[in-house]
Amino acid sequence: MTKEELARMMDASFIKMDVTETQLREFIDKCKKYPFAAIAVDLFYIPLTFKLLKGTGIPIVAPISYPLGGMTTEAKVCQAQYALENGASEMDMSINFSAFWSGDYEVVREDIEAVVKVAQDKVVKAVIYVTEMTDEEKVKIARIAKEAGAKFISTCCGFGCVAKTHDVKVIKDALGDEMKVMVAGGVHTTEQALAMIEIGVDRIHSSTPFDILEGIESP
Amino acid sequence: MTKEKLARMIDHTALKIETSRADIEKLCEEARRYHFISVAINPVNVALAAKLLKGTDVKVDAGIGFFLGAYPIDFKVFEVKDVIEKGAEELDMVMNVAAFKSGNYDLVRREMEAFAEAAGDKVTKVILETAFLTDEEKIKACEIAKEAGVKFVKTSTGFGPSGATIHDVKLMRKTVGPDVGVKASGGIRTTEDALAMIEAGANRLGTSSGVKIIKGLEES
Repeated sequence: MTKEELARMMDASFIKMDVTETQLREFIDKCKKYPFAAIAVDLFYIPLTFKLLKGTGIPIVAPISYPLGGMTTEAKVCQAQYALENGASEMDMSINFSAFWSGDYEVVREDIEAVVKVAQDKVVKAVIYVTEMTDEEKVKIARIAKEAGAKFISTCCGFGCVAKTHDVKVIKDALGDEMKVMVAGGVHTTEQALAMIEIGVDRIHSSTPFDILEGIESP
Repeated sequence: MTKEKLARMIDHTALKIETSRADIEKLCEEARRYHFISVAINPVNVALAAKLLKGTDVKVDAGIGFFLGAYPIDFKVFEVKDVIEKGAEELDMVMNVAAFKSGNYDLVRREMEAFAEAAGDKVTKVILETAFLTDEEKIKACEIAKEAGVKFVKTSTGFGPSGATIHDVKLMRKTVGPDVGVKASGGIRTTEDALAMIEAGANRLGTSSGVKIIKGLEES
């Protein structure tokens, strides 16, 4: 696999509370060297990122109620609208975890549906928390997300959540081609990334994308 | 310090990603029993908490822009109105730390002014996330908040690298003077922690250990 092929499967992410404009510009400059699948930045920085990426064709991912998923559906819809209006073409939305842990699956589905509706043809990824979920729950949320129109499940939203190849397999075995899987969390090295791709992962979300790419020998 | 007085200084908090409906029910039940001044929760749980606390002396306190804070002003204003409609009477907004650290004080000022205006008569608190700020920056942020009419300055989201310190609370109290609230949050776990923060100048505490803190006072 070449650097470019691997980059095409990666979301390069820089989502933190204290990113300065200078740091963001540096990050985008570095990103432009690779054909990343997408670049994820704080909602606040989407307009600037869109400007900086003009002409590159690289999609921008908007985090929606990320990472806690604790905002109301109306607020998630508001963020989604802002994201679209300002140039994002993918959305990573944290699910309503509170409803999920409570078994309120209808509420979880409606929450995702509302964002999918705003997104129209743009990709919505439902962000979950695999280390806190049983295999049954992983399959359950993947099915709910599929019914709601999300195109991806993203395995983690931080908090030490680390995706294992098993997590990817469980979802892929249950839903096959009907749901794409993005691993987020615990993929820091080239080897880890390649291992995930080997078992069928569709996207890799990383806040250290350049470290992962450096491990691939240039031809 | 009496347990009644202390309880009325505590925002009884449940913000973690693992919080379920049962956790909110327990939180509200404890808040009613101990007469905490509020329950501090994520917006998604505001409607339920408001229902459970109707007719009691416990308010609902919602996080705004929680917790990354890196949101446009219009979104934060939207969220404020949304949670007020759902029953929140106190609002803890995370400052746009990204803009602040970029030196964009004008944007931070406008954000805090918009926050204060949108909240109307509801209690507003702005979370500075002191862990990311130098002392000069803490002072600056407090000054902007005070000028904007925000009712409290607050140390931490509880999700950053560190929480409230005596040093920071003292600095914030010294900066804002007696007429603006100072809320200490993040890492307050024991009765000793709580009393130390109050001694340093906090008049409100954000903690998920409220029950333990009150019980510790009863026994002392």
